[in-house]
Amino acid sequence: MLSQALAAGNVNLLKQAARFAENRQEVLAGNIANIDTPGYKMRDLPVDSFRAALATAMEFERGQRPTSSSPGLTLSNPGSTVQPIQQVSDLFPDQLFEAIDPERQPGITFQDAGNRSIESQMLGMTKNAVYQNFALELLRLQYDQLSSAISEQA
Amino acid sequence: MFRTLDISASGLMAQRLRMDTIAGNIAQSNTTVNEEGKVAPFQRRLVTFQAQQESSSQPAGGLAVEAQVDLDTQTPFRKVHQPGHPHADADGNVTLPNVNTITEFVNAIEAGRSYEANLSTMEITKGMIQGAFKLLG
Repeated sequence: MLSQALAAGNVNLLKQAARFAENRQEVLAGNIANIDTPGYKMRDLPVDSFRAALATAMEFERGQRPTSSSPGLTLSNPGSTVQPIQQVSDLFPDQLFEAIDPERQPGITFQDAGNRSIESQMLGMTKNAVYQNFALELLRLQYDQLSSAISEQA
Repeated sequence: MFRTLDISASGLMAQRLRMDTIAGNIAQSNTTVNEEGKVAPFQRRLVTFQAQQESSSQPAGGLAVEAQVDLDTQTPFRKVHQPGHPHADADGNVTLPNVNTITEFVNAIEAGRSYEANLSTMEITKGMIQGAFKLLG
């Protein structure tokens, strides 16, 4: 997965991943802020759907570029990059970034049957932050690669 | 990303308001005269939370919390037999506020923990924002 993500052209996927993590952080922060609100239902983004979209997009990107070992070529050719970007972003509709109320078993711990757990929310948030950090770090590596390629040419 | 901080801040404010209310309840737990100087027991205050209504213009995201102070009119006042008390009624009973300090302390612990959870959320969010800034090189 790491080697695939490091290949240039996955910049868009990493951007989507970072964007998703940032939107999800907002939803989880809302859950924590409303932890004592009676009747509040914990919300989340459709994580599984996003992962599926990401996997599809990775497959798509791989199919799009015949030689993944030559990132410079695909980047330097505007004709080959513009088209796939347009299509990859189609795989990430705005609905993927909107909060949903996941179906949950009603709990009996609280009187309003809300199944809130501050621990699972904080855990999800920590994992989410690591995920965002991972995406951003890979993105930064790609930009570094790009800038070093540019400076060596000059 | 900055909206995330706003949401956590709304949680902080709500829990702090709750803590203020609890502190007031405990401080007034034996008050038998109201602010106008008349003999009336202090009425317990409590904070109600409500999730902020979703605006239709924005995509569904996190919800901020709104807190409001209300008067507790359900819990009965405590009656204590103290004939010598200046505010005792004809039967020698003094009406004390409907504040139960144990309930207040339990709520105070919960408010403190929830406040901390919102603070931790803010720290994590700040880390994410800083990570995004690192992309600038």
